[in-house]
Amino acid sequence: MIPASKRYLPPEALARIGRLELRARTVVDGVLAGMHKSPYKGNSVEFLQHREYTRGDDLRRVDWKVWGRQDRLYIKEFENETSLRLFLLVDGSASMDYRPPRFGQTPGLTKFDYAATLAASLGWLGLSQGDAVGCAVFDDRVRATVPARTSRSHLASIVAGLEQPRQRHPSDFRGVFRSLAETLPRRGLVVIFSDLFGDRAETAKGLQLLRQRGHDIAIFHLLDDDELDFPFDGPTRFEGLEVPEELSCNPRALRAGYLEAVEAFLADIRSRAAAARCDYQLVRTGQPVDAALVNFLARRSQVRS
Amino acid sequence: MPTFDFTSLLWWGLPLAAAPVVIHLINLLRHRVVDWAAMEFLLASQRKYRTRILLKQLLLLLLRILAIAGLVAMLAQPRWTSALTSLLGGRRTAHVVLLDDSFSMGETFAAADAGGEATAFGRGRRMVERLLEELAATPGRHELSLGRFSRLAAAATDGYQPGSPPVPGLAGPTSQPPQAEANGESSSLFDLRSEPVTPQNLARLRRAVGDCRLSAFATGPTAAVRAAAAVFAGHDGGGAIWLVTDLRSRDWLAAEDMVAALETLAAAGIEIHLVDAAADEDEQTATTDPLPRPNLAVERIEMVGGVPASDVLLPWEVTVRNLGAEPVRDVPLVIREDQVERPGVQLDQILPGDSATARFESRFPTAGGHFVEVELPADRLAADNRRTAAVEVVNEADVLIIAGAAAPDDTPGDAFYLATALDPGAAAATGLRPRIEPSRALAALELDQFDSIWLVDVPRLDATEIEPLEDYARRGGGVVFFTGPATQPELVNQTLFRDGAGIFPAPLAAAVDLLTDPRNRGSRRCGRGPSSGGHPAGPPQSVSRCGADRPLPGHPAELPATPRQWPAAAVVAAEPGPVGDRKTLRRGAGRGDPDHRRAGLEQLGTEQSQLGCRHARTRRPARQATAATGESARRRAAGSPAGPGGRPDRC
Repeated sequence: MIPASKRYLPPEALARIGRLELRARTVVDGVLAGMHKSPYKGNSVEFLQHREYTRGDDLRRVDWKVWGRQDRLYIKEFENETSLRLFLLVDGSASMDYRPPRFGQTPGLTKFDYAATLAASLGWLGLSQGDAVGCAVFDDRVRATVPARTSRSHLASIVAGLEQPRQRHPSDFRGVFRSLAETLPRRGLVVIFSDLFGDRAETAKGLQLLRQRGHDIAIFHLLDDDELDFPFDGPTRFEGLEVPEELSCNPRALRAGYLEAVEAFLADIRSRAAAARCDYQLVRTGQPVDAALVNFLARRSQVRS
Repeated sequence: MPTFDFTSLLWWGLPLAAAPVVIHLINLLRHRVVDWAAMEFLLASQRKYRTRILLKQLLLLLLRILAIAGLVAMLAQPRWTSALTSLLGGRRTAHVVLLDDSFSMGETFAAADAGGEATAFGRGRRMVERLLEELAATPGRHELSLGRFSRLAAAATDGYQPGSPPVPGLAGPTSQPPQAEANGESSSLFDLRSEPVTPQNLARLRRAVGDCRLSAFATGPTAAVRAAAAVFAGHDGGGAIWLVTDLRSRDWLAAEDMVAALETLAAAGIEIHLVDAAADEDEQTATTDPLPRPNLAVERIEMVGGVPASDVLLPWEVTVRNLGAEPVRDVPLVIREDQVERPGVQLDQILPGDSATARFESRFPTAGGHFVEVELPADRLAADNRRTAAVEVVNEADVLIIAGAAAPDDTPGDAFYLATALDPGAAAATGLRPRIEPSRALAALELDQFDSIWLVDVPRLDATEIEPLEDYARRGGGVVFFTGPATQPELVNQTLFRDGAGIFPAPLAAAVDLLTDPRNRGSRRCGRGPSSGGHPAGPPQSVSRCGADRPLPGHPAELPATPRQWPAAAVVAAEPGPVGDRKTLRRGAGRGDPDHRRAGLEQLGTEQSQLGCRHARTRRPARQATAATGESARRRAAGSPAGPGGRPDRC
């Protein structure tokens, strides 16, 4: 049943997501059988590989033929599709509060609102497919955490976690990612919804930590259209949301340099994400949420196939 | 350095060039505030391109200012005057238009031309207006100066002050312009001075041309050409002189000075254009000419004799000259007294170049200022068809007669008969009111109340009597001396003549007998006797009664070689000769023309009295009359009744 809060669950996104399968790129421990790769090699019809016996492995999985030949104990590993463990990590720093100025018009979504909408959509999809979905909001540390559950009614908890008041501190990606790497009990898919405005080197290190723990990482790099296009004109004073700085200027004079800096930033982020073997997707907040999800799911399904 | 046609637009528009700066400053205060997340990139851009951005903004601001200033300058229509722009067609040309406003330009043509102008002056003005239109439509910068002959010629006279009424040039053609003009202060003498000719101010220039009026002067072009040279002094562009005139022969046949001035200008590269405002006139046929071709002019109107008193007949003479090429006949003259027309006179015939004189009389019943106007029929030149004379009429003119010694037999003395001659009575009003007094009256009475003082055979005058008499004469009073038997020549020479320092006009020689009693032809003297019937001169016709072969008693006089200038003083004296042939000794002219007085005295001698000097109010030329009137006004203001305004002219 879809929770009453429709804020983060646009029906259009759900309708379109419903036609696609959510595919995980790596094997994740789960409790539901599905179409995902499982990092734990269980009883499956497909033999995957031999692995040397370690204390605690099930003796029933020992390949006695190999022991007879080599007098060494090896166990068999098989592909076993299990349900995905999905953890939604939403950036709640001050920079996520940017809202494009629409003078005299209905205010648009902030980047956080968009991120939360996207996260909730993805969470609901996962819950619908029996995935365990958890959620956390962070800025300089993890603020609100919703443990992963598979119940479809868990969506409400996720939404509640997303709607909690935020501190809006500047982001500390490395610290947050390290904290998550230590606290997440099982490997799964960590989906990060953030603008990644911070120290990129530290961010990359944090991603590496999560990867080292075996987590699959997907990054929704959320940026507003204004931040990508810088369409401002006329005398404007820009006041920082995260940094205590302001600049009065003619935006048209700085546009070229700004776009150049943004392009370099995006290229750097992409390269670092690729180096960390993260699934990276740049999302404009002007883009419909369902489109972003569809693009994400389509890409994920291509990875599996 | 350019000049601008719309300077006011330039001064109002140039401050607009500061608008971009003002807008920039306003924008600094009116920023839109945006809470921005990606400050990192914005600051990076600002650090990297700060200098370039600043320079671009300054350059953009400067370009905007220059754009506005350039637009304003273009709208103000600049005109370049440098040598370079002259090559590019921006040459500045000074045009000096000299408009002939002499009264001959008022000549009316047979028919109005296509522009409706019937006079040479009107045509000239229209030619100038046409020149303005052409200059406004011609590329380049043209400046126009407009001057009139009369005004520029007036500046050539001494003492002329700009702004004062023009005075006809008293100096001849060879006179030099005053220093003020040479210093370039003649700008106020021109109706227009170096005015740019543009389509925008064409209407104003036209009005200035239209405001020019014909003058009453006969001024030639020489002074105007000289004044035009000052306009070109210091001018670094081209120039042209436009002489708009009717090319009268009197101005052009003997104009060496003007030709020299024009040659000087031509040598300096100034173009000279002669515009004949009376061109094509010779082609008009007489059949279409509603006006008679001849040109008559009233040359003179003058009161000849008479006393301008109320109810006294005043004789006038009017002279008309035929300036045309054909004789004229039966020329009617319209006469108006105080603008009321009265019966006129007619001139029978006037040959070409000749003049004719007519006489008429006028009478004014009241004292005060009166006018007599004579007008010819309309002809080609109307300016000289009318002339007006002013006359100040008094109720009566007081005459003081200083009687000499009384006759021993109580018969009326010479003074009585003189007074009778001057004022015969109501039947023959003369306007004179004689008063007989002894010589002591000269010291006792206020002499300025008398129009003239007649001394009739006064034996002697002492100093207390001579001094006021001489003062009276200095103030313009007329003094007449009649010599007679009682006259002592030596005493006269000693007290009155005083070697030319006194009032008497000439030293007297010894007495001679001039008049004999026709009933006593052996007598050498027409003295007082029963046979003479009283006064030796008798009634006005006594000349014939006394005989034709003996002159009147008197004293021959020796005129000094160079008479001093005294107010008019005359001595009626006679030298031996035929009766009726008398000589009037007079000295000085005072403020009047002695010729007129001499004519008056001759008239007096032949018409009325053998001994009297008739008061003759003569008509001075207009300018002298004006001066005399001014003198009269000043005397009246000073309480002195002397002067032509209140008294007859001095004899």
